[in-house]
Amino acid sequence: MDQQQYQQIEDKITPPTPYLKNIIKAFLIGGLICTIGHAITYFYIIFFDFTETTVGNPTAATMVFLAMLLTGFGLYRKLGQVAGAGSAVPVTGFGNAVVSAAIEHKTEGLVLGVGGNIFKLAGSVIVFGVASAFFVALIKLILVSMGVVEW
Amino acid sequence: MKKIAWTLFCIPFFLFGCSGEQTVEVNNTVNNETDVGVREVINNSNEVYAGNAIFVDNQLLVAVQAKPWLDYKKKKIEKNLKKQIEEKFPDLEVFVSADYKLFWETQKLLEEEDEKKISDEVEKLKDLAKEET
Amino acid sequence: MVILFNTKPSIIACGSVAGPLEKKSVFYSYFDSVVEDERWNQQTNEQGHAMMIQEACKIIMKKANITNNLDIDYFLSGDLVNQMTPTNFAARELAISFIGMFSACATSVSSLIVASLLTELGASKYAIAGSSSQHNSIERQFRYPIDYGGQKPETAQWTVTAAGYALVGKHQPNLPSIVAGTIGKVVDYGEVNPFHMGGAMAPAAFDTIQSHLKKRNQKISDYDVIMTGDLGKIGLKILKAMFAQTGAKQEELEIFRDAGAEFYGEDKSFQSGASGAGCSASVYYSYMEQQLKTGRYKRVLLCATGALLSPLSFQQGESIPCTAHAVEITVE
Repeated sequence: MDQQQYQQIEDKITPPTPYLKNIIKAFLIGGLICTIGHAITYFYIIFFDFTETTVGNPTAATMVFLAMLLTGFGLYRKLGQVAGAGSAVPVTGFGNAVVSAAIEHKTEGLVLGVGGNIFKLAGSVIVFGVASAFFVALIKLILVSMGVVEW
Repeated sequence: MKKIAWTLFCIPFFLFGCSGEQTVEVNNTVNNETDVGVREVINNSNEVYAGNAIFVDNQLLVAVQAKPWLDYKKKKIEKNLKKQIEEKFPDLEVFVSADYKLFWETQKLLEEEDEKKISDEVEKLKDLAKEET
Repeated sequence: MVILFNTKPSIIACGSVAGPLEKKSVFYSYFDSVVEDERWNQQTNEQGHAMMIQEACKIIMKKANITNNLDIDYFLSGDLVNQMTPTNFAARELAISFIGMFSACATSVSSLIVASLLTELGASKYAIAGSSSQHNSIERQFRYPIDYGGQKPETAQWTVTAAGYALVGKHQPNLPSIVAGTIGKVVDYGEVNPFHMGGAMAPAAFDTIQSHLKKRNQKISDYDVIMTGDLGKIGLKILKAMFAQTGAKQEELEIFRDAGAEFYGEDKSFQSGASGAGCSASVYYSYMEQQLKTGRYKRVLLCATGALLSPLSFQQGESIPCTAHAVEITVE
């Protein structure tokens, strides 16, 4: 049996990825997480002196804190198995990536273990986040100086 | 059973839509002319579904709420309204914001009677709105 | 190449231990010991991993009435952690002549073949062979941190926390005896998805089983059971489809079983089934040994499969080479 024949057998038996089901689940659970986030936004606006511009920071911090608790109790990975991108894309997914790496490498010490590995997964989010922010700002700067849009 | 519970849980999220008419409320202790003028300006703007206007001395604080889907145009809406109101009443010092915080707080100020308190609060809100971080 | 063992070395005793989650296993009642704490009350997962190996060896010695470690000539074992430190550290405590064996998840059988060879040679009176894996330390080695919320596809498998070891000695009647063994080639049919190990390893198992049958001049039906290591539910289906295409009949395909596919029963939360070096080892050296001893099976072929990848190799885009080793065990 050669590789091509085998590939046919394998493709026939391997169950296809249920994209539609995954997308719907990700939409609902991701939406639920964002709804909770929005509720927290209103909470901070109504009860504290935050405006829509400034409320982003405390909200993100709270969501990351909640993700940290869920990660520590081992619940976030169960959520992630169901939700997929729905739990990975919101800021809670970032929190989960940071906290899970920190927990994992606790046994190698604080500096080389936790410190050195905490951004093992989230590091690329930061790198590409900063890089893409730079390019978006650059494009906007060019458009503004050409007079197409305003700041 | 679980599925039914889930569906019931999800339904409210689909029902929360936009409903109701445009509401504009004005707190005017100065005169009637400006009151009507500001109402008109906000009513004429079809990008806004609610607005509150607070008059303190010669200052005017207008807090509006942009319609859903127009949230990203907030800055433009603020600018337009400000321009229109200033054109109508050149003597007034106008401040327009589409921020929910200001809308929420001005809602409370509408019932406030104490002149001094309103003036303090308006100052505070203006400072808040200018904060970036 | 098939190795024929004329003296038919026997499996004198077996020891198997498993972690807390393995209570869900259908083989649970066959394990000698199940520990509540995955870390075996140690500081790190890796130390717990080493403790598990020692524990299994202690059970073997108790069962075989061996009180002194020095009475055991060789310790042949392996695991999946970098440089196999858990096994090495366990060997330090055991103080038995030791060779680290690595065939990934096929180590359970490759070590058994080597132990049989040493016994056949007369170089060893008693040799311990087997392998182990500990979920937490293996997952971090090959995939993401344990608590990271990634989504696993249906083809993924769950690394077990378990160890299985066998004491190999001179032939004794009524005990499972090793008749022949095949050391497999490394087969690579170009699978690149590390979450589809069954698909990567099935060709290796097919190749080894087929060459064993051919060299031994046997049919599939000569065996009571042919049990692969950790192909998982999907991998086992693929293997059966491969044999079906080469003309195996339906009743012959019923002979094939897979330790990984059966390990957690029908529980969907483990996706395609169990995997890891401890999966095949703990099933072979508990359940299978007992089935042979009680006479339910007379002749079995154990074919453990191993995926020879590292996180580095698949990130660099390499496909997953796989191997499979088989031993034929009979009981008189």
